[in-house]
Amino acid sequence: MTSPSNPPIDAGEVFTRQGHLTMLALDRFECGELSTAAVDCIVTHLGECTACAERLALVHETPPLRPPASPRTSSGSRWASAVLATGLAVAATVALAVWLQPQQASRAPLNDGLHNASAYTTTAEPELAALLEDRIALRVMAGGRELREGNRVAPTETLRLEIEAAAPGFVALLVTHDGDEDALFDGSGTGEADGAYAWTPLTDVHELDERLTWTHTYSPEGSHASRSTSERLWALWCAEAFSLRDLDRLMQGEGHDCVYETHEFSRSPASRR
Amino acid sequence: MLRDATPTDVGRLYAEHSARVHRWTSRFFPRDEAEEVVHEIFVKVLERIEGFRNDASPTTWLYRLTINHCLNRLRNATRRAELWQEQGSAAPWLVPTSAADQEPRTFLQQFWRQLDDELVTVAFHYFVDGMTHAEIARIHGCSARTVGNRIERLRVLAAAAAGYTHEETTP
Repeated sequence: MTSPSNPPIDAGEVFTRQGHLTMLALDRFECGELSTAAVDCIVTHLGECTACAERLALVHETPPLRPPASPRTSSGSRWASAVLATGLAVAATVALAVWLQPQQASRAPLNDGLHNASAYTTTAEPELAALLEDRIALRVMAGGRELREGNRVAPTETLRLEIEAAAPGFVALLVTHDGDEDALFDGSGTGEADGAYAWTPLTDVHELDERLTWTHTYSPEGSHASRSTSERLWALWCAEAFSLRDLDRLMQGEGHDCVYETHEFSRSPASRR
Repeated sequence: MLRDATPTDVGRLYAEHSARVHRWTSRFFPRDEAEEVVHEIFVKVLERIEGFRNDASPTTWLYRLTINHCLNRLRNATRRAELWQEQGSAAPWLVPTSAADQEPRTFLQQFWRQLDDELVTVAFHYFVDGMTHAEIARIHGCSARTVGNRIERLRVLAAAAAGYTHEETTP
């Protein structure tokens, strides 16, 4: 390995194990992010190593990227719009906070047997549509009352879910549980945070004209029946048909024009109507 | 540079680094797709700008974000199937850099999709970038010892996989 002549820097931060400059070091060098000592070290090395000098030339020659100008649903468009709209940054932060919530759950095998649901029905009464600025609304009813965020329900209480979209599309209902060791599994390969979370589908993907109504029953077994858990329901809507296999990707906003709505409450034996 | 960053700052970040990020994403994807991935990455940049604030090196932060995003994108089931059709089971980013560490590289080539994200990312920096433990540790915000443990784990898995393959193919 080529030893840097200037001891104040850590050679391991700019050199590969084979003694060449890392591409990241060359990029940081190009951006002026390195210390004077590191820059001196790199300049010295570049004078002695033609391979690294050629790689630096490649860094110099990197062509500029075309500005994003894609269809409305593309990432490029979303990015461009986001930069222009400061408010979207706030929305993204809120969405991210929601997104990160289920990652606090523990890693354990999936237990599909905890959930069952009735057949769904669709209606053509877009009552909620007028209230919507977004494209989808999720309403959760329990015993004739509408649940608010954070409300408690009995562990075995049946819920009625209503999902309404402002535009035709496809929808799937999902559930995650927090604090229930057997209700979640490790959803790997998703995002930088790499936390443990998973979507347990309550339904397959259904074409949704205006409203989907679904009855959801949670059937805890053993110790789960006496424990409090936090349950979060998700409704994922996409303009195009999608597969449940793509849930992780779609929930991160990749691939399709998709949005989701979520509603969290607790399942607790101490719940009172 | 990025303290109290705003979307305008992100715009400047895009102007200064998008070509660089595109060069990085081009290691994983064809040109057009690589451009699309760049835009996906800058959407994430906007969402996670709070995380930028205290980072001393925007380039390093972007590099980590880019590599993670590209690897995760490749792990996507749909994309995985496409790559399988196009290139067989090979990891497209696993271009040879040296004859050293051949066994773990071969193992990665075959099994990278089954490994956890952190291990694959560390392995990418080690076997593809040729980075030292110290540099990987700096990028990931962990200790060099932790990085060493990850690499050692990969070597053990690789040796075990090689032994298994050998037994399977030996009459």
